[in-house]
Amino acid sequence: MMTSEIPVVTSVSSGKGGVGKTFATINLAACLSRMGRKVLIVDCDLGLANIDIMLGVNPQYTLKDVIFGSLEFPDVVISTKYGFDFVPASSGIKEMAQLLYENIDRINAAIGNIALSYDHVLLDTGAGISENVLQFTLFAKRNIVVLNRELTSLTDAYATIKVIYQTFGRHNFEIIVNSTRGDDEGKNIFAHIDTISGKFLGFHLNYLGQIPYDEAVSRSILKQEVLSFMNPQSLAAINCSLIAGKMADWR
Amino acid sequence: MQASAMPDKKSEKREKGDKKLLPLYSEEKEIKLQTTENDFSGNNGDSVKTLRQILEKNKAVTILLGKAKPRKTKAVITLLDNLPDSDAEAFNNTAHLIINMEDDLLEKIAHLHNENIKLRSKALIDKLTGLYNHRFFSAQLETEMARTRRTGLSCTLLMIDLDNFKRLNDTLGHTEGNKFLSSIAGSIRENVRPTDAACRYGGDEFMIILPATTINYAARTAQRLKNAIEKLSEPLHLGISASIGIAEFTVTLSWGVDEFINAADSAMYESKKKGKNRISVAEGKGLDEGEAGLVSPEEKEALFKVYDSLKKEGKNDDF
Repeated sequence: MMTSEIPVVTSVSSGKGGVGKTFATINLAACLSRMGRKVLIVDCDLGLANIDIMLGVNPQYTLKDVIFGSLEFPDVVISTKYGFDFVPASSGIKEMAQLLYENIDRINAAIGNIALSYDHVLLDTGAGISENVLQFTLFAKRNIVVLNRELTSLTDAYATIKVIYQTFGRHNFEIIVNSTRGDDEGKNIFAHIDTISGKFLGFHLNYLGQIPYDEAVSRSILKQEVLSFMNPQSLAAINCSLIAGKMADWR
Repeated sequence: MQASAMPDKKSEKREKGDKKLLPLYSEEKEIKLQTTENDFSGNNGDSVKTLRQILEKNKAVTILLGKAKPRKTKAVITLLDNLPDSDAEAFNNTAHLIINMEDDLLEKIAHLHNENIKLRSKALIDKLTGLYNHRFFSAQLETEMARTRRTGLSCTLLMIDLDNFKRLNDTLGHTEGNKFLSSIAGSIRENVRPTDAACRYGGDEFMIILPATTINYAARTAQRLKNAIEKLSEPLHLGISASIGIAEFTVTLSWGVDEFINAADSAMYESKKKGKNRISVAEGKGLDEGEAGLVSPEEKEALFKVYDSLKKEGKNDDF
């Protein structure tokens, strides 16, 4: 197993919910694992944690026990058959966002600490663009933003980029366009958003790739399976693999 | 009968005048059947036993028995649920039941149960307007926010504050003022869905909880209400109108009840500040931030153009 010296911590956000952020996170993790990278996902969605549901596990301890309680990250890490590890979150803990803020240094250190055992750490932030939701992006070197062709998704993804930039001073954004129809749609949508970002925010975005619309995606979610693991030859899984290939080179 | 729980002289007087007693409020939360069978004349012993059994099972009633006249024993029943002290006021406004021993006790008990249920809901209803009261509002808002966290469906809060309502009280008096509030309440009821909770929040302040509703729908409801209130107040020529604030609670927000109320309140205040008789939307930190000003109109227009061009290109797709 190859372990680079410095782990790459990446946040995955989307602005609007339901655009496939968690699907992308899990499948990219599975692809990176297959490429021999050691990957950890941290479910940072304090509002509606659902990685555990997508993976079909029922965790006993969660991120909450690290932030609230006395547990350390290694205590709550769950190994999966897909090769990657993950830290589950708990839904509906309203106090948590504030606590997170108060303990930000401690959590930062804890994430930095556990990251040392991995090549890649993916922080799956909650949907929405409140500062609370996006606080985790603070820990990430790179920020993936998942969007699709819907107007609300475009607007919220753009708003996410703007908030992260204005609040945390980050401008290292990687765009994944999900549910695309046609080979060029991903690049096309990206080019538009990139132009807007350049014009209004003054920096450019990076195009990471697209995940085409594929019925296999919803089937896999329904079955609580990881598409890239169960059906790596599906169109969506192949594209996840292409994206993961780019991420594997990140340092 | 305990002296401490006796109605005062004034209420005894009232009792003679009509069948209503001035309300008693006792701190007792447990059932107390403060009498013995001997207090009753005749062969009512069995009935009293039954009454006692039922009341003990119910654990929601305090009953005081008193002998007003020989052979006319009265049971003064204080309907006290095991509710917090905040409800004392609600109960204090309620007339009590009086049981005459000549009447069929069991029938009375059945009636008592019904009254009890009615009272329980009365404790949640604002007496003047018939809308839910402040207490119900707080509990319900908590419930709906929990539902949002569970289902992911947004919940919206509408705060209505009447503009210049004081003028009505000052010119036509409080009775007319109350009548007007009552008619406003009626119109609010007509304009919301059965699942929405319309509450009287304060003097001339109303809150409406709209479950599973986003800003867009809530804004339409607000518009309807604003128009309805305008229409109702028109004949008064006092310039009474409604300043409305809307806030949406989305699953991604870490708000508690207070934050949610504050958001609606600030939006309402914004309406006042901008010159009253209007609707404002809270600048939440949720999904609607994009719409609420974070994304400038120019940016929005640019984004919309993207969407538009995608739509044109993908004519055959299922946009």
